[in-house]
Amino acid sequence: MIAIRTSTTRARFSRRAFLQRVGASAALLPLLHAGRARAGTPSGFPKRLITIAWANGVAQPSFYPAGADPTASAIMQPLAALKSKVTMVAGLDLNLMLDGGHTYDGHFSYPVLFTGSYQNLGGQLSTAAGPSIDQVVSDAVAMRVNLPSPLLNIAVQGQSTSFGTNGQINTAETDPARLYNTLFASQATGSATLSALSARRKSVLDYVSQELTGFGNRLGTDDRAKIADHLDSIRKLETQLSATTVSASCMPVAPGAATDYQTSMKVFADLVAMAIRCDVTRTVSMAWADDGGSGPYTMPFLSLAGSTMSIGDVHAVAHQGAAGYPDKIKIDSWYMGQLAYLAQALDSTPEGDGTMLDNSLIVMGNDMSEGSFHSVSAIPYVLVGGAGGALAAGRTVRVGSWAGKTGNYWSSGNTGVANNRLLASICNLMDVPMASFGTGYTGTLTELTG
Amino acid sequence: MDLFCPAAVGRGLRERLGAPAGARARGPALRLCGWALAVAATGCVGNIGQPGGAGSGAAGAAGDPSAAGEMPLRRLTNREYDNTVRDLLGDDTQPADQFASDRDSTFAFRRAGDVAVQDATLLRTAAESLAAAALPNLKTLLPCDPSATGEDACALQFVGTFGARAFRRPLTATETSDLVSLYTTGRTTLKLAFSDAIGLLIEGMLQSPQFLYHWEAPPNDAPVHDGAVLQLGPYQVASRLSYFIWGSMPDQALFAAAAAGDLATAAQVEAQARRLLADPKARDTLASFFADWLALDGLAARTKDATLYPAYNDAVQTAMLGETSAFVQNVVFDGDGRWSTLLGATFSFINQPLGGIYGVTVQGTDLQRTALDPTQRAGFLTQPSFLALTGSADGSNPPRRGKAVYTELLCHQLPPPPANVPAPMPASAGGTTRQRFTQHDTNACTAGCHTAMDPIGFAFENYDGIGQFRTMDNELPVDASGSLWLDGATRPFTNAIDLTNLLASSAEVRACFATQWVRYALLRTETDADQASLQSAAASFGGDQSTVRDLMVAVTTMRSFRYRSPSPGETSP
Repeated sequence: MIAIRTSTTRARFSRRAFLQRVGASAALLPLLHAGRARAGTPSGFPKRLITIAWANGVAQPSFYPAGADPTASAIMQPLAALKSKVTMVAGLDLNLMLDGGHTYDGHFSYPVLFTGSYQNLGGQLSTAAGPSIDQVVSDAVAMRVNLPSPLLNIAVQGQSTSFGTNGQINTAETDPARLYNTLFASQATGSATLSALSARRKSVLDYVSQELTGFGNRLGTDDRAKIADHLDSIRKLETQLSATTVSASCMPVAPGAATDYQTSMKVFADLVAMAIRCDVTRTVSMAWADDGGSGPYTMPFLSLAGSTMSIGDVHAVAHQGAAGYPDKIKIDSWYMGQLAYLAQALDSTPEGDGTMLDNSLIVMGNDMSEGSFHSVSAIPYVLVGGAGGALAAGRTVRVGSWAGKTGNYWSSGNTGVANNRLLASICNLMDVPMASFGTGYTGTLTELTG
Repeated sequence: MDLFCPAAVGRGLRERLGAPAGARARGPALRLCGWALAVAATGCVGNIGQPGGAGSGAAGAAGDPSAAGEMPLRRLTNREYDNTVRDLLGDDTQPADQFASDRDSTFAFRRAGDVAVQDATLLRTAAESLAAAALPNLKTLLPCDPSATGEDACALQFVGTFGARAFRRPLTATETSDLVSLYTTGRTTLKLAFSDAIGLLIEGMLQSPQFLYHWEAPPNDAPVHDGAVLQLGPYQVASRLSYFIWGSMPDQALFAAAAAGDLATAAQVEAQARRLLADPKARDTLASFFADWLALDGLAARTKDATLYPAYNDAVQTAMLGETSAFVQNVVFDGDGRWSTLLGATFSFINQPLGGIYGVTVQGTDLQRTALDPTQRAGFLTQPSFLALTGSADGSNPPRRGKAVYTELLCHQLPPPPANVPAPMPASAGGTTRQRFTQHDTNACTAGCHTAMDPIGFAFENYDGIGQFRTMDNELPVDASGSLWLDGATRPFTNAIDLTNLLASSAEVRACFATQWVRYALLRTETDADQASLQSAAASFGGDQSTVRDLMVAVTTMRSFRYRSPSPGETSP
């Protein structure tokens, strides 16, 4: 399913990436990148990946920028202060869904968004067939370092977009207070207690592994796979027992209570930034919005007025198309404000000559192009960060039939380029060499990574 | 056939297709696409024809009485976990509140998903908390006095007695020795005191697959073949019974019946089922069935327009859910238990906050049996829980209400979606809800889904977005008349009261209700192999004299409850 590059191709990639950094693209980079060409190498700062899913499409005419500045649009404007670190990738389709006849199933596209795989079981029954990029990158990181939380998986709202090796969904954390305890409880526990607890847990997990192995043997194929997934999770818990500990110098602050969506978003963003600063994790998956359109999902704090639903159901607003744009733009730009908040939190932490954001890559993708017709062509993807200098940021990359278009070009039709290629490129940017990612569509996005 | 139509694709399709490992619930069960099933783009899907074809749960041709469907592995649902640790440990802290939701978007009833890292972490946390909480009262769990028998001997006895309850069957020698090894590790390597090592055993057992999954056949028992199918063993039947009727583990009497081999015949199973139904724990199951079936838990997330509905608040919302639970429990366990009463009763259980919705005066926060205006209310479909759940934030919602009746009471699947549906006009455009949706439905593209749902939904036009009775809508008189296809003919109705009369006397609807109970018991969608079982369940609920209690008993004696076909790849049968 996933073609892993050999060390030879990896070396070639690295050289090409280096040439890109010092060559033509270098002019686009802020100065601090020039001195950080080796970022992400074992001696430098680690790279981090954050995937974010949001939903209900965007008001396309107000989303896509007219020029090279990816933040020069009404919706992207909240990211203006970070414009040199933002990359918009415009014109990607979820080809696997198009091929399966699910052009308008944007509500059920989360499994494809970051996996480039699709088990076409019809509409909402469909799921992923392979791992998401966050899983693949965190697995690669785990080969080098045993972090306390190799993959931090959060659903502020909606379903997880993180999928395991066999395409099974990774259950997400939904409670910020609990997440804080999971990540930082060891800070408050004495080392003797901690080591006794670890030993105790290890003995229980050993027992559970043993029982799972025996239990699965007499089941049918499908049921054995459920037990195999369970066993895999238990083994990951065992690995976590010997993970690195949180540095004593890292002083996490307990998050406040999250009683509403707006607060939850902030608290989770704070926790993610904190977890990355403390090197508790280097890979994060976040679902920010319910993909199903089922939720009575409102944003009273935006005072949406023009909706047929007077309280401003976010999904209903999206359905209105152009008639709902005044409200939809408020919603979409609010989400970009959330992205800016998280990115700023990373950018405020210096690392060497640059910042933590320069060594990170945030990849945000929507489940559809426009809320009025749910199409899975022309999916909005926004990248923030430099991936340790590997990504030439501060530009809008138009691909497929959008390539070479000028003005704030947008369209609703298929663009001809699969999201798989972006996912493969992201893995490469994160130093996980890939010739392709997911199923059905090979190659990387050369427009992005050179 | 695969165009977008939320929820149209029918629950359980994946089961029939053979769900791949890891295929997992995503999102809530009712994914109505906002208040319009609307998408835009190319092409339209044509006429849907007569409903009731594919996916209809009503039993069709006579099924093979010797057949039975498969029994996929199921993990304890969150409710089952909480109830089980309550009965196993006496712990009523409901630790599964912390678990991920077990809502399954592909099925009406709750089913726990695969154990991902997050789930394994939460299961561990729960096991550790439960074990720690059990230690102060360890004496109640221990079958022996360690100071008399010796600690190691007592631990071994504990493994045997507690283990048989935690695993819901006797342990094998291997399972016993695995647990003794864990105890020994606790005492030696971990240097734990006796009681702490018992706690370690509890932690281990609560995370073991034998506890977490329903597969209560002792591993060494030879499978009992009956033609092409397998008869479930006594401990499997015992757990099926107790989890179906109580949502929890078997009690001592049920374990004793299993040990004595007294669960082999339909008559023996029926006797136990009737005993279990007499226990108060069955009342909770009934309420849970209705809440899951109608997806009433979705009400908690239903925001309503505060300007239009100042009466709607948390207290009212809580009372709405409590009302439906109290009502169905009263009818089924304290009343005549009839379908016609569930659908036609002119009383309900109301408290002071809820009285405001009904326009009746009731004092206090306790739900009290209250007589209602028979021209306005009839049974659970006219209760505010259902009407507010299926209502919009700012009005009624004929498609949602119609869809609920169409899919849940008629067991039909919605046709594939049209592809180019404009949103219905807002109330500000003028006209009643019905007029605006009718106009919407004349659009050729809209007709696909909405002609199936909206005419049924119009029956509820006398109820606003939170279930208050009304005769005027947007300053115009309400028209709640319509018709639906039922029992092979088009049946007209004048309003919701009239509609519930039709539904109450329909053989098709009764068979569908029986089918829903079969799905609830088997935790899967029916297959061809279950046809005889469906028919036997439906037959028990065929006349107006029959009761929901009898239906529940009939479900436990049907073929697919006590037998199963082997799963592909299964080696031992």
